Amino acid sequence: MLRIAELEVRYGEAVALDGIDLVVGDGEVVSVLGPSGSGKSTLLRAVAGLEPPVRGRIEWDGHDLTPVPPHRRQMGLMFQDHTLFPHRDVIANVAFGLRMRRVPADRAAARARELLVLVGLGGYEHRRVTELSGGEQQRVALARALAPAPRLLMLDEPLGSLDRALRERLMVELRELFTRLGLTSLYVTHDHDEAFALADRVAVMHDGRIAQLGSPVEVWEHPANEFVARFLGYNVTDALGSGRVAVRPDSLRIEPDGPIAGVVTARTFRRDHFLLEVKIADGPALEVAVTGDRIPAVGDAVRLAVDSDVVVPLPP
Amino acid sequence: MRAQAATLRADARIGRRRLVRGLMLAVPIAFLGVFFVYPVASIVGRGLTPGGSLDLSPLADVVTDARFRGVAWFTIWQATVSAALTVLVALPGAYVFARYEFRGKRLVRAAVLVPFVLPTVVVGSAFLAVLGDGGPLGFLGLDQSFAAILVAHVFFNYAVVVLVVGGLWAHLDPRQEDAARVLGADRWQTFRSVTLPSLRPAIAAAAAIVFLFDFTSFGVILILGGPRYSTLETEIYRQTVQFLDLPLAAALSIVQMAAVVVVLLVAGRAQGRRAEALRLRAVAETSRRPRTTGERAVVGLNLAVMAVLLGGPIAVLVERSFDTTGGYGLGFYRALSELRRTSTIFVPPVEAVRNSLVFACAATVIALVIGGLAAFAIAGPHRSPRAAGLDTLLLLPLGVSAVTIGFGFLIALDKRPFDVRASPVLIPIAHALVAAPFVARVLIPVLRSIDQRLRDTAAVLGASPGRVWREIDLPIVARALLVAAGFAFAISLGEFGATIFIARPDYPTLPVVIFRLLRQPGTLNFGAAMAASVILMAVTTLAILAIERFRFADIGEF
Repeated sequence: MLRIAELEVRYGEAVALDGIDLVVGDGEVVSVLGPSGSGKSTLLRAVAGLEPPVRGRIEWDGHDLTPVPPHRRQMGLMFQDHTLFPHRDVIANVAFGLRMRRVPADRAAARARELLVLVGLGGYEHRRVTELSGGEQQRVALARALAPAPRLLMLDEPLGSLDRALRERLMVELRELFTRLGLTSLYVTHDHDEAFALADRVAVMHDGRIAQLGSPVEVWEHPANEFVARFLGYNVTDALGSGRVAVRPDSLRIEPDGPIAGVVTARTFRRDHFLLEVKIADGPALEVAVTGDRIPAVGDAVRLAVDSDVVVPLPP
Repeated sequence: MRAQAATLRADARIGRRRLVRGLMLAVPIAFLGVFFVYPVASIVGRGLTPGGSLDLSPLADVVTDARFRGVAWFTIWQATVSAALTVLVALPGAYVFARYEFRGKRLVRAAVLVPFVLPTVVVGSAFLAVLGDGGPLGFLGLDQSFAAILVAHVFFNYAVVVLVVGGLWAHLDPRQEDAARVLGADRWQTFRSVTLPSLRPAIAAAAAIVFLFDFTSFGVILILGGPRYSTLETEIYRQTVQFLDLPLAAALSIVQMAAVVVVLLVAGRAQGRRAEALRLRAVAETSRRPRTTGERAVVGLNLAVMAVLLGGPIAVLVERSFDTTGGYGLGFYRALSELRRTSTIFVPPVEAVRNSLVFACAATVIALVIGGLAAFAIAGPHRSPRAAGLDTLLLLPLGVSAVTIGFGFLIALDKRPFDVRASPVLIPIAHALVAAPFVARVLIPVLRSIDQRLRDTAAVLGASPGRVWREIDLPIVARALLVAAGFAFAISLGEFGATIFIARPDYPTLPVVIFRLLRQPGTLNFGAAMAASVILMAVTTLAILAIERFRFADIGEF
């Protein structure tokens, strides 16, 4: 079990992590979600021992990890891209961690082959890593991180550089793998679909702090504050007459006798719906997801209605 | 309590790392201190306090004397004209290498590199072979002329412009030029408004390097300029060796060093602006075969210029080394082992070949250790913030000129605590001093190119810091190390400016012997100089061919 308490990391004067408290239970996948610059990668680097904390503790099963150098922490770390060793072939990359732990060569090779099969790259042993496609490289990186059976697997935007179709396929595979191997994992991403699909719990980060921590459903349905709501794509407004609230674009409907009047200022086609930007009288623009045959055009006057049970009140 | 103990252990870890880093910095700093800073300080001391107390008269003599002012002026003037001419002639060549594919390109590239690494003495010999008595262009009467010096300098530094400017050019995204063309710019406007501004930092850097090389040019001017033309460098040599006026030579050295510092500062500013973000592409995406007649003509014309300018003198040199009075033969080569001892050459020239090879091996080892440690301290993991100063210190021997180094050795290392002037060990040390900056220049970009996350990944996978170095840094820089070794070897083989001051008559190097042979009258001596130059050129070229074999597509930051 990983326990992070009051962790603070600085780069010179800049505070990268500002008092992080987080527990990752055995076999649990926690996703760290946030925009770039929110400190999520720094959190992984600190847990890996690559960034010294100014303050706070990182513990594993009650033992303080602070004085333990990275190479003795027995963790796995996988970056977004470019971190396969270019001067080694596929199997040498996967077996690297085993070799560092003085596993005999034949056993290391056998284990590496096993993992290559696990990630769907059986037969790739002696390919050069520079010849692999982006998806294949990420599978090799995953196999390499898993080979020494790390007690904690950390992934930093592992799917960030891949195209959408591949990303969605690998997301399903990763989820399966996490469950099958019972991995304890910290998964950093800026994509909430990815975080919600993979994680048992989600930690949303903002300016070096955890803005909200909860299950994917909790976070998605009850954003704790304005930052989280906006980050997840909610409208934040106080034009609905019940104080400052967050409301999802698909919770707003166009109704001829709806209570809110506005004018369509932009219209974007989004595969299964249209996203309208509706400027409401003496208020901000709201995003409204609309389906059906009759989509208002830019310039049309519309009236909006909202179901009160999907409006999330926000703290002032 | 536990937290405190943990912090202490973490501190110990950081402390150990600092110690290793400090040791890595200490070796090159000590080496540079004893063999560079101390001799240079001795020159300054000798120049400012010739009689033991402060006496500015030698310096005043140098600054006010019309002849020395003429020498200083000529030094600047010839370097400026040479550098401008080199950029003008070589820029089209850089373009051709950067943008076009043609058969034999690799070979031509390697061949273009050869003049740059040729020993200055060989360059001098080659142009003497072409322009001197009995040479194919002897009728022009250009022996001992300004023009001869200029052409030799262009010959010498053509490769610098091709490497520095062409290197960047090859990585420039041609789609930016395409975008300008689509926006309505013609070829010339595109070049002026898109390509040239991107290249400007590289051109400035190349021009600065060439200017510096020409400013400190020694062998070429000594051989081709004769008594008519002298620069600060040759004047330091003449005052030391012919007139034995050490205080005056020291004063000249001070002026020379001050000038070099100014040039380096200007060059540094030009290079600093290189940091702007350019969209760089892999070379494979930016070059293609010439398609139109015009493009083929540009490529052909440039290849012709290279063949005549770079290939011509070398061909004539080789030809004349075989052209004995009794027809073509090996007479001059045989003469290398048979020539009588003279007052300036105590041993048969052939022994100089052996000396040169031994010194070159030793110099390579020293340069790799010093340059390698420095590069690692500057650009390796956990680089020290103070290592930037080492970077500058390391570059100084390059700028301060070989003649100054040789002269400094001569006057500094002949008394305690460093009474080693009589030792032949000084020669490889001087060579290593010249070569170490090159070694570092080759290694630093490769070390910098290693993504820190590769090291992080290896560490997280269980590699200790030492193991990370062995598993990641070393294999990746291995090929660059071989390239650096080749450069160091070639530099040592051809080093002349420092060696001429410290080589003892019984341990001459090949360049020293060639110079002495050229100084002596007679066809046999001239022919033997040609033959010795061909041998030196052949050995150097072999070292360079070895480099080209191991060359990464992406290194070469000179």
